[in-house]
Amino acid sequence: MSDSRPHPQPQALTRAYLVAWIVLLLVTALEASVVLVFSLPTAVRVPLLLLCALIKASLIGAYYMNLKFERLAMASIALIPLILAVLMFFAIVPDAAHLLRLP
Amino acid sequence: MEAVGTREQDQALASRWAGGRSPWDVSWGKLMMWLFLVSDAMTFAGLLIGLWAARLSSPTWPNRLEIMNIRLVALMTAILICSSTTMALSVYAMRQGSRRHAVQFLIVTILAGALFLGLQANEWTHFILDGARLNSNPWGVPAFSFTFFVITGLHGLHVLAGVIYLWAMAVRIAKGLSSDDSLEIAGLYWGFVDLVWVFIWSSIYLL
Repeated sequence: MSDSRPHPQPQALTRAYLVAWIVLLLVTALEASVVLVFSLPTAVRVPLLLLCALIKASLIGAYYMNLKFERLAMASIALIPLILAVLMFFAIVPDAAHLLRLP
Repeated sequence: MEAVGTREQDQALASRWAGGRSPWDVSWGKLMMWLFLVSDAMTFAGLLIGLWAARLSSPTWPNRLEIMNIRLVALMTAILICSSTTMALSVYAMRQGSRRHAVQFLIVTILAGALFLGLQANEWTHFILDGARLNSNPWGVPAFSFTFFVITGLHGLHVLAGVIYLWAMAVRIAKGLSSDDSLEIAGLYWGFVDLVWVFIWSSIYLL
């Protein structure tokens, strides 16, 4: 992303929306298959599902919320909740998981 | 030096916010919507982290495959993704000056949102008929149904608010009362509703 990002041509934009739509549907189908069809070990299943979620969130943010066409400063605003959420996760969840190991 | 300083001051006062160059280069309406979405994202983040804290501190967690209809929820997810695409196409049509197409795409988006809500109501009904309550359930982990109802309920309220918001926008655009910028701001809200569902779908149903 740069500050002087040109707006794409209308045709390229419609194509981008449609490509994002197809990829989002395919990733959703993959997510559902991982749970319903394949019996993958947890060590593979969890990172795969997290990766799928991040791909989908990035596509929605970039194309459907226009962040790809905004200034870098705007995208930084959108990243704040994600960074804070990750911090909150690592502040709270290990403690909760630790409860299981208490006598 | 004084003359240069005055000129810079004049330029700053003539800018959009009369406070210097706009760092984000967006309209105030769009920026306010983003600030709302950031705070709303933190609300959902807090709830989802609460879910994970409850889940990881619980010795057991019910198997969702045996309780919930994952295929139905996958369909709901696909419907929401399709509605985000039609929303983007509506904004695009409006930018191209075609109000008629913008309203048509908006109506498809509204119908998809209403369908999502109907399927969610169906899912809630089955869950409640199976014995799930806010503070208890037959699977012996009260936090399971509590987090489910609170998180999917809050998201459902967002979808409902979005359907009403988009309906108002469709009426206003049909009457020529709203601009393409206003529709883009509504599109941001609808994209956010889809974005949040990505994490709810992963956390509650899949992981």
